[in-house]
Amino acid sequence: MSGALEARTVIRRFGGLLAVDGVSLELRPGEIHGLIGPNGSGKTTLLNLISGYYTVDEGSIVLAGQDVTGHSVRDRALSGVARTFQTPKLVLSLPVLDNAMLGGWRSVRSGFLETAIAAPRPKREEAEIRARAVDILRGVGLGQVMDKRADLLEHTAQRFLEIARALTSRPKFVLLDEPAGGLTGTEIQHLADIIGVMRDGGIGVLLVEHHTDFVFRICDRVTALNLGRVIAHGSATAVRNDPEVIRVYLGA
Amino acid sequence: MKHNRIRPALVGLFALLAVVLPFLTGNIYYLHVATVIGVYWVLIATLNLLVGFTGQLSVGHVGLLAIGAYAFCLLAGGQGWNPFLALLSGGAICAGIGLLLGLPSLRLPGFYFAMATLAFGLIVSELALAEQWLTNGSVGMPAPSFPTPFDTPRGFYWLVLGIAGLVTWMTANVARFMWGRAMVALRDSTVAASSVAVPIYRTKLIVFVFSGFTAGIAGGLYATSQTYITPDAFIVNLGIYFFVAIIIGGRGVIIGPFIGAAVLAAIPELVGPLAKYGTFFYGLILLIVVLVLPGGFGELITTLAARLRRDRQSATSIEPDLPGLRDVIRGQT
Repeated sequence: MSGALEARTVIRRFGGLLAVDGVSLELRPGEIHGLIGPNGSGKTTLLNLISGYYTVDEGSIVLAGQDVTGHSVRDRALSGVARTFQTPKLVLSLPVLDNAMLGGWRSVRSGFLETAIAAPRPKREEAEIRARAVDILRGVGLGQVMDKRADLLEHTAQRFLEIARALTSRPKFVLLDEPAGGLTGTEIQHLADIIGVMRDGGIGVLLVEHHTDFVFRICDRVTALNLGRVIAHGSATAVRNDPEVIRVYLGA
Repeated sequence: MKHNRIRPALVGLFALLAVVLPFLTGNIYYLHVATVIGVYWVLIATLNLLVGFTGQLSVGHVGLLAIGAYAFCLLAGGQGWNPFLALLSGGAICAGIGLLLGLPSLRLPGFYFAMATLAFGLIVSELALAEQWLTNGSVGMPAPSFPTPFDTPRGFYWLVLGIAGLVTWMTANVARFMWGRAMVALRDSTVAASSVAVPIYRTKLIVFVFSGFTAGIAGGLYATSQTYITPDAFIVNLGIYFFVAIIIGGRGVIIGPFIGAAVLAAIPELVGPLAKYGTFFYGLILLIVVLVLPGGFGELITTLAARLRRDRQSATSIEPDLPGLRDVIRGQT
């Protein structure tokens, strides 16, 4: 399908272990796609393969019909694939706003010397990225803490800041690695609302998550992994009622 | 930023003081010390971008300073070039050498990069001594001065001040726009930096080349400030002192290492019995900073400023503004 981000029968080994064993997954623009499975089933490994932090041993990663298997993390970020991390990876010594603005690096065209002499272009880019980051931060609910250093944020705020950073980059796809981890019920509801807005805006969201209620509630489609293989995929309802998924993961 | 009015006022006041300094002191010797502070600053300001912002620990910049100094003396003295052209050429040569040194070594992890730059500093120091056909070996060579009006102590001071001001302005610009954020990001978290498409290796390389350029310029100015250069002036210790100036000043603060530069330039000029303890004091300051102020004086200032602005950790309730978010995201296509 055109425009989608796809993993095509990818295989990844760690030593003798087949962490991802021939998994195919298609993330379409404007959908929320859940990726669930027990610990060690290969969810985060697959996310790292799609975002480029790991290289695939076999198979390919395709973005909008173009093979990006050999592309670096940076190239994929430039192509519009943004992500968050299980443990938030922020620049803790910088203020919240600066962290969100980093997402705007994707659109920076100004060179180093141009910036050093404060030419018009870096100034204009700075203003644009700042305005966008401010709007996004207000949108995700971090408007009050923009001037704070990121290391002063609580865990939940750090997770939302990572999402804001991803959104500042004007992404086509966002890969979220356990975004609901450590969040309260209200916060999970906020997260669900934000992800919903992302979908409505045409962004394809891949959601790796253990809160299965949350996944089945908001996802359009779900893929379930076990031991590195796909055991079920389809609509949320279909996957929730799949006997194999119930047996290995959800429990009776 | 809430201290929007205080900062420009402080910068303006400091700049004004620096400009009128020759009228405040009739002592040529103090003016010389101030000039050397400015020369060191030309190197340290951009070394701070490399070490403090980008996190690449170069201890070998003295090698670039030496090459800049010899290039300036050879071109402006021996070859009779215009001193300004010779100065820029020295900078360009050092930028090129920075590129050649950075291409392989910036791929190394931090510690090994530091060792590579140390080795570079040692090699340059030895070559300056051994290659007599070029450098006159231990005899050294005289450094030409700049044409009028820069040939007097005052004139030369203002020239150095102008260049130092320009370099400070450029580094401050780099630091406050997106490049500065990218540099700090790759220092603190390469994973985060690459996830937002920061070109990690290229950024390090560009910063290294830029710092090489100004180190070369500083070399030419240094030669003139000393009027005569010998290889002893460029021992590897000096490279370590430059590095220490940044630790003292505090990484990631533009003006912080100025304190380090000032102390460094003042030490050899201390009069009387204190002079031989100069390095001792430098070491002592380093020890105190590392033990008591790990962020350096720069961070102390930042922390105090934050205290004044009453920043504190408070519970944040996150209330998303969904319609607003919808507008921003929809507006992107």
